[in-house]
Amino acid sequence: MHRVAIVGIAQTKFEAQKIDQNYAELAYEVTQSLFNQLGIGYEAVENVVTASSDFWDGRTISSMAVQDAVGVWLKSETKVSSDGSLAVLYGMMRILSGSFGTTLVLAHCKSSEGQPTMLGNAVFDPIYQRQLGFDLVAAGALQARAYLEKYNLTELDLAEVIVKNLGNATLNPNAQRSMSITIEDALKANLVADPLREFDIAPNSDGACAILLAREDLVSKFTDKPVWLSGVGHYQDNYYLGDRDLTTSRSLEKAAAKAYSMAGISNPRKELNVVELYDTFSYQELIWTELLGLAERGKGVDLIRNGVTKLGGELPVNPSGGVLGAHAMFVAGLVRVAEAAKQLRGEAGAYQVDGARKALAHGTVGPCGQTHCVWILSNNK
Amino acid sequence: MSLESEELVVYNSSMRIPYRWAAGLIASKFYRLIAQEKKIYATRCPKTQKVLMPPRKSPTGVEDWVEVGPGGEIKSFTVVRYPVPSLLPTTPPIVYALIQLDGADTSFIHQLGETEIDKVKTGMRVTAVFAEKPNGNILDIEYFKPENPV
Amino acid sequence: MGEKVAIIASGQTNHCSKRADVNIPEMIQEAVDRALLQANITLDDIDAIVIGNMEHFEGINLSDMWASEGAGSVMKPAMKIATGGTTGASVAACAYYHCASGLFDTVLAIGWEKLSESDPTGGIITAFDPIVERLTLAGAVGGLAIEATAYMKAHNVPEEVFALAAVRSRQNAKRNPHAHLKLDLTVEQVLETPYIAYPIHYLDMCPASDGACAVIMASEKRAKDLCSKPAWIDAVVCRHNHAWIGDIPYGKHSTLESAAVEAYKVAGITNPLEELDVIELYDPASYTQVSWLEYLHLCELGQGRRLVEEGITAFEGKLPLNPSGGVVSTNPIGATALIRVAEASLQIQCRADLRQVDGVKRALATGFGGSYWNEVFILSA
Repeated sequence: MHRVAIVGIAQTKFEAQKIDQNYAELAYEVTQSLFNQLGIGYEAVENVVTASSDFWDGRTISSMAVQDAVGVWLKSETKVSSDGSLAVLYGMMRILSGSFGTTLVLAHCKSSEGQPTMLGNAVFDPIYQRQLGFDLVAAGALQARAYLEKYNLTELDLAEVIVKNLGNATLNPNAQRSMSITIEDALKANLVADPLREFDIAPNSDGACAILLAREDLVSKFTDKPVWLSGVGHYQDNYYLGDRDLTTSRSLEKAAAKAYSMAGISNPRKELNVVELYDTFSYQELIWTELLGLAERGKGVDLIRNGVTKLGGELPVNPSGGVLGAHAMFVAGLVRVAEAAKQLRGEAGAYQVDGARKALAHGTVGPCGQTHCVWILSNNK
Repeated sequence: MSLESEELVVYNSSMRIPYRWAAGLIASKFYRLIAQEKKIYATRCPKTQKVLMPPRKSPTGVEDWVEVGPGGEIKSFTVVRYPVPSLLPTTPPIVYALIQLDGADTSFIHQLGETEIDKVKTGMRVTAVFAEKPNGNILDIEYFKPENPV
Repeated sequence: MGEKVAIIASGQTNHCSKRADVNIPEMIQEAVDRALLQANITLDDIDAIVIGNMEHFEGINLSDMWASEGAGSVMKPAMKIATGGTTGASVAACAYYHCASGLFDTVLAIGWEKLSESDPTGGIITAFDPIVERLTLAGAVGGLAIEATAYMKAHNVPEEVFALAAVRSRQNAKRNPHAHLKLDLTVEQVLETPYIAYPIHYLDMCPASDGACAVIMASEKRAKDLCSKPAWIDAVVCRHNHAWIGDIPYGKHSTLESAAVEAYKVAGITNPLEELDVIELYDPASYTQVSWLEYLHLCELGQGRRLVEEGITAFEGKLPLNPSGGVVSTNPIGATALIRVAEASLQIQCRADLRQVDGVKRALATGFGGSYWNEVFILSA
């Protein structure tokens, strides 16, 4: 592939409540930050793909809130009503089609403005499920138990994931949960939905993220540190949780296989240098790493136990702190892409993975990971 | 002009849109069978021969209804410790379980009642308790209780 | 433009005011099955799926998750697009870019809505800024009524002209088995119905419908393999403006004009009135069948009434407008703009049965939504 590159990245700090900014102001902050870094203006943006949720925004056509901030007066804007990782894919398609030279991809969310349990409950169909009061956290808890029991894992194993990721988050100035916590802290935290405790679950965050994509021949106008989009795969699984084997994810497995094939990767564990995962819950890092082919089934925990995925390890996973560090709906997948790109540009500061050349970024949406999108990024062609 | 944080406006509102969700012929029959016979029916997929719970519309246009349950096995469960605002009268803790009914090939989500939370286990046998006054929604099965009292 | 892309088939439900016999995924599946039947292929031949609706119209969060049950997207690449009234056109554009990028060969585009399940105006009102606009001017009719009033005053056009367009639409709808409002009306009958908002009478306005539409697109080689008469997509152009109601330049529909001018340029059209054979316009109210023709450069400003009064846009006229009955006859919002694209393709493919216009070589379809956004498609034989 290697015909489209990320040429600029910007994100806000993620916080529990950004009381002094509305959606448009969040979008404006990241757009201006991107433009200032690149020394460009709106005229350099040929089209815009946004990602936002009407439910989380409490607004039908939620992209209407950011039209002026992204500067689409008499231009083309469209909204992916799904995770930002898919908006990157659509942004790339628009360039590959030959219709546009650059795409601004932007995602925004203010989790603080909605009621998370009710928003999560509304994901479940009103014919067979919604009246039960079930939500996305409860769904995650069912998956967590199914996975832990199948492979004889314990809360202690989940605590190791939390300590690693929240420890990494302390190095990331944009993370919301910035705290050094111990295994004991994680195990003592309040039970939310058994077996998940407070820190097993991603926080609800306010924030925005933007990246600029450019066609191969335009890249040098913007940057001498392009990050190439070299492989992508996305698949959707069954809706009803009881139709799936929750201890695995065939949609993630297939998405990864496609992305690896496109990027020419045959041994991801050896060839990748850094991974940014969309882990809404601690246990998901374990399952997702297995399906990405980084560990055998049920052995994702060994990556943690053996220090493979810690910062400084053989293959760091979520050096930014991941989604346990900050979770703005639909933004978080775009942030994974942005964080992977930062690593490949050598701009990750205190959580830089030295000499990273190939990175994997992952996005997901839907209960227990119904849809997955896997990206392979590279800093050389 | 700079503002103190307490001077920042946060406009509190809510979206109150009424909804009328059509269950469709398949789910309507599912609820009618619960109301009239106190029996749970699933449908067999003509392609895979799997018995799907909840029932689905058949691509052939003719559904193969199969009675399932009322007993089944817990495949996974959780105890929700937070309140579920304005959705249910139930207050926490609420036990949700993925239950595979006898005769069904897939599990579905429901609540457990008449149980001690600490005794709930994966693999435990449960059975449906039907609501006295069915309303045409999933709470027409009021909850599942352990088959053997705990 | 990148890879050549064509529409090879489409399917629609029989749109009506309430489909109580099917739930949401079941209704979607009807349209998908009909499209697959027309294409004489199965789901196995579909490489990717793009789906769209507006979540608040049914109150289903992440609606593509439940919809997967009927969309056929299980274990396929799938993404959701939602842009208000333009949703169906934005879905079609996204499917187009899937193919034009070279990444996918056969793509299923789905738009749907079950407006009987909620209060559409309640949903639309929430598209506007919650603090500044939602409490005052909001909803679908208000903005349209303002534009219609400004147009009548500027060009001295009476309501009777709009009513004539409304009569023709419902007459055309009688030719279309999928249309919702199939009525024999007179101009007087339209004018006798109460104003919803002056100058728009009840029968000038689109209905609220339940329905779904599915369109199958394919890359050049696949299209030629699968279809003897594909409808080739010559141009896809989208134009946005800002989201504030006060920013909209009433009396100059600049997004439609800009999109049409660009689409004509891409498709090599210099005299649209002569070169186009049929138009499927997104006409939310009857006056748009008069005034918006001017922004499509089919006549001078203020001369739209001539096209209507002289019968140029009638079914038997030189350039038939909405032989399907248009939006004024059928409006399942998330499907509505995709229906325009599907109907245009049916005309090219000579599959429009009783509503077939003779000798269609080129067709134009539009999608309209948000705060006066437009998407324009040009298809050719």
